[in-house]
Amino acid sequence: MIDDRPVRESGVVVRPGEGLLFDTNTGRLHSLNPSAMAIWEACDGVATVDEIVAAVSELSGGAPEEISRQVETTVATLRERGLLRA
Amino acid sequence: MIRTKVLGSGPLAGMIEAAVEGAPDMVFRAEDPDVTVVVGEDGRIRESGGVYLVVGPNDAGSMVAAVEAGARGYLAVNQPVAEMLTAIRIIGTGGASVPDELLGALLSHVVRRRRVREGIQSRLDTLTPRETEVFRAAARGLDKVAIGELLFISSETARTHLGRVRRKLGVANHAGLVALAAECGLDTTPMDST
Repeated sequence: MIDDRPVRESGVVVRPGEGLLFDTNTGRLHSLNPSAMAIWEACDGVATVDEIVAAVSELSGGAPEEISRQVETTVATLRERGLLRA
Repeated sequence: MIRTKVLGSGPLAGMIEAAVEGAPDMVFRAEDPDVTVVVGEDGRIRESGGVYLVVGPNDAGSMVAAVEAGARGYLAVNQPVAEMLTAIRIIGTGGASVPDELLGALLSHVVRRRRVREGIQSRLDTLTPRETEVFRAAARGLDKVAIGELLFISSETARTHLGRVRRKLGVANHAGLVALAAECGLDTTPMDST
């Protein structure tokens, strides 16, 4: 997972301030919590999962192991929903 | 009693510096309704330098600028007082607080900032202990002669070390060296060469 650089699926647009993503490929609307939305936005294809975990830890002051688990779960869920490229 | 302090307008970085003087509990910025700084402190937080919540326009650029100026939290203008108190509470317990819709921008910013710092750190790690001493001395404005005197080496040897330090750190000249040292948090106040 070290070199995993998740990237947002093209055609998915954000509805600012509403916590919603609209997938124009499928016509489906996805509701995300603020953390998941922030992680999705940080998935620019450059940042690695490890880098995102480190940044979340720095901002939240939480334990890296716990945050690592949460970020990886979130990325996996976003992939399953087709919001990140597989 | 909550001590408050009202400041005039000015650049954000200087304002935060001025705001924490005397460790007031809250600071409001006057004259500019778009930018207000609130500082809340208790004994535990004071050790780490205080709590800074900046209230400003609801855009990522302003939020990142505030965070870079030392803010630990950012709140969009015209939010209910309850929102402000929640943000102060989050910051007070060591967290960072920004509006939900700016969280992604902050996360991306922190990823980039960490990458820059780690890049610098990996270059610093290639310096020998002697080269690190030379780097620290050069950061304080000493030239090869002064560095030689300080470290009991010839100015020629100091010049060689300086050249290696610049090459390893990827900077072209003295100014670049000082700028990099400042980014690393090293002391760059000029030192007398006597």
